[in-house]
Amino acid sequence: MNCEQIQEHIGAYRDGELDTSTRASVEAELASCETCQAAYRELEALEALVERAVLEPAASVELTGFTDEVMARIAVETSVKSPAPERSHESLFDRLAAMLGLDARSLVMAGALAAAAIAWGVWPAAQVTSPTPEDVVRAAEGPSKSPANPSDKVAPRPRRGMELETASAGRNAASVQQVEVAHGRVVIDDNADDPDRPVVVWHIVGEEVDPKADVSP
Amino acid sequence: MKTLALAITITLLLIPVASSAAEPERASFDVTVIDAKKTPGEVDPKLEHLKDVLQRSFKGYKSFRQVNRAKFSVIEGETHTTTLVASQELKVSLNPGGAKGFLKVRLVSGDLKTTIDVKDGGLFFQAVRGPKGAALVIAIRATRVVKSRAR
Repeated sequence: MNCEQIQEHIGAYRDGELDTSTRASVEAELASCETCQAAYRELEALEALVERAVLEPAASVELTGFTDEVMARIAVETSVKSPAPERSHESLFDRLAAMLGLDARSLVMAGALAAAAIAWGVWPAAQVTSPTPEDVVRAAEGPSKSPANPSDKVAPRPRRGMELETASAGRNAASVQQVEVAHGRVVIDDNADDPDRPVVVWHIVGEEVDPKADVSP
Repeated sequence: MKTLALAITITLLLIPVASSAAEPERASFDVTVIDAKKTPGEVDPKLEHLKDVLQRSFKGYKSFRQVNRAKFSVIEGETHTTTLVASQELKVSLNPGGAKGFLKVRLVSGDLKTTIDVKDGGLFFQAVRGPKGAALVIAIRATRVVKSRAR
């Protein structure tokens, strides 16, 4: 076998999946060929990265309180350092009315009319959106699996979480905010070596993926 | 008369802002499920659109075969369920609070729950690996759907 053929078998060799004769060929080549040794080391380093546990089993990383605590402290310190501004005797509303040459009542009326017009014009638009190309594809492919009942919906949870890993650059920039897993462990492979390479969230489990389970169309 | 003119002016100024606030975010997702192996093999021709990034991201793997692919869109706060393989499902949600230019995506697959901020139009992978190295890779591309007004 040449180097290229040997390197194709290195992964299987590391996993002990080769038959006796192929394994012997790979071992002989690794003992003598620097190129194949380099390929082996590269794969070894890659697997070490994957094996390294960034998160321990059953980890649930929830760091949302951190930002809120910091912001609360900033607010306290700011209020101590900054004296309250003096209140103007004339309110902003009165000054705006005077600037526009209106009395306060007319200004209130104008605001109310504007609010009514916006509510009348915008509310119906918010209820209907145009179908996207994906909707068209989905409709053509058959029944949708979109949630049919409200219990399938996920309640929005506005949250400011701390980033676990950030791939800050490139067209596939992404940052993992939270990971929870009950079994196995999670390893996040960011794209530090290649800004355009997507982030990979690895879930390492104890059971082999069954290749026969996924062949159905 | 002056009051009416002012009301019309305020209305015209505020309509774009109000419209933007009222309409929920929406994103389209392209989810590709891939069976990856380290044993010698080929990249499935169906995966031509991902070939480069697969080979760069999964260097120890030689064989990539597309198992499933689904395209769908999700409105902010809602969840779409798509099939991965056999009875395994992936729940995809679009959460509020993503940074500017990013989408906050929530994924639930089995007991793995992930929340990730991904650049609008960006791609990321989630992969499950067994002890002998075979992997089930899920490639997910999320793209914000430009808001449109329709009656």
